[in-house]
Amino acid sequence: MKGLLLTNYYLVYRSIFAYVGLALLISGVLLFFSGPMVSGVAAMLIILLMTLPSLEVIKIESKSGYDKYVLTLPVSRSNIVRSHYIFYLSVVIIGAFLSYIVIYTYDLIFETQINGIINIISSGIFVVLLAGALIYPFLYIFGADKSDAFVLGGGFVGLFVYYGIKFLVEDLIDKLPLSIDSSLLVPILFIVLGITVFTLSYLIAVIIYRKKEF
Amino acid sequence: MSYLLDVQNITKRYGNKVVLKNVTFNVPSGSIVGFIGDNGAGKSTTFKTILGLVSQDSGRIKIFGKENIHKQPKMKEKIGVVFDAMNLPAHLTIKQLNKVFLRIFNTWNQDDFFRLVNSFSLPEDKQIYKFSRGMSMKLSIAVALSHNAKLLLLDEATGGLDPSSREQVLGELKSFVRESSGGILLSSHIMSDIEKIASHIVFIKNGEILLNERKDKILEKFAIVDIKKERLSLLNRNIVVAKRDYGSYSRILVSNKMELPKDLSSKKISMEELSLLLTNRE
Repeated sequence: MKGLLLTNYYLVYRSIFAYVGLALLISGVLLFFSGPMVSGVAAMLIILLMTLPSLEVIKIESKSGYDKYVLTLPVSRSNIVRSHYIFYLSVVIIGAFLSYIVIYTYDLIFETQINGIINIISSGIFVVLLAGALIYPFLYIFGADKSDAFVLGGGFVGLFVYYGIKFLVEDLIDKLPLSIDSSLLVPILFIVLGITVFTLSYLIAVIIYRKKEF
Repeated sequence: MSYLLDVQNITKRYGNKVVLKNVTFNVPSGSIVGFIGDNGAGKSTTFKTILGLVSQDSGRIKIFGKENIHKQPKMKEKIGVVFDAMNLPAHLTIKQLNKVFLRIFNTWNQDDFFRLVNSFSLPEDKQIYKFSRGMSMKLSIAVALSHNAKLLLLDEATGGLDPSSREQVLGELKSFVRESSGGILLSSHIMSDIEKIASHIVFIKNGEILLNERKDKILEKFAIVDIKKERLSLLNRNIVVAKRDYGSYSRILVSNKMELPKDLSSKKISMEELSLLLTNRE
């Protein structure tokens, strides 16, 4: 597993660092010129841009034929799938931390009061986990040739579902006579939901990948 | 006798097309099996089936006496594989590749790996996708020879190599078999390579094995004869392996030259001619 994760890292680490730089630059410019009202966009941008290169792993592997060769190595098919999912999840977590640090630092320097940083970050985590959960099984079924379309589609579906659920949950909390602090409940709900969908997607992807012929 | 690789009656279909028909052969310990056939004959599908990359419709494959290799990943420590194109992760350098394989193979021998890398004059810090095809193939062979494998599955591994590199690679393969008592299944279009190092010949055409024999037996007993059509009836049909017509005469591959009519002179057989006759047989 360590060897597979290291391969994934070596394949895309240059792109990840480049995207981190780009994400920091764009979010910095956005925050500087537009202020705290765009903090949500800035945070989301960092997580989204950071995870993009990790989705490239399968494409690069397929292009070089490594997706076939790796099956001749002493690793199981489920290990290969797990390495893709763990690598993606690791990048999402790092992206979330980076996103938090950027918003928190901005908050400190400019003495603004950005409300609900956790809320913003959790929404970013949910969107990228849902996108990943959709993209990986499709990549295993249809191959990496159409990966750009899957990435784009996964991202849009992630955003669409996020706003749909957010609307429903907030509406529900308003209507129910409960004294729940939604500022904490909603982020937890999104993170738990994201991890659940991502785990389910992993289990489905293993079944798909075990039957895949090369 | 136990074989390193034992393939029995493998059949594989893609839709209605049968690409492998009852393919049967084996790789004994200490042998190099030359796997010959035209493009599309079924060589690569055979390799993929052996490795579990595609599933067979029927038949049985045993590696080191065990079936279902894909369910026992640890067994793959002892199998070295080279495909017909460079299939290593292209963005990595050789140094990075070494770090990766150190973590993947329990038996990874980095001294052996860097000895081969140096002997093949490969740059350690250059990304692999910048390598020429020949350099890539040499690197793939170096990887296959660096984890104490017992069985090498080499699909066109010497393709794209210049003559001196081929000589060097063939030397490494011969010493692998000599020193480890391992076995190699080597497919190649380069008949001179097969002639030089193979101990057994397996010939496949349209998914069927046409010839499966020890090379020394082929060289000793097989022969090619040119015979006028009106004299064909004089030949024992049981010894005719392949026949091709050339106008007034036929060129025939026979499996026992001792059974030829006395007045027929036979030619010494070469792998090149053998391959041509089997490929173009009628």
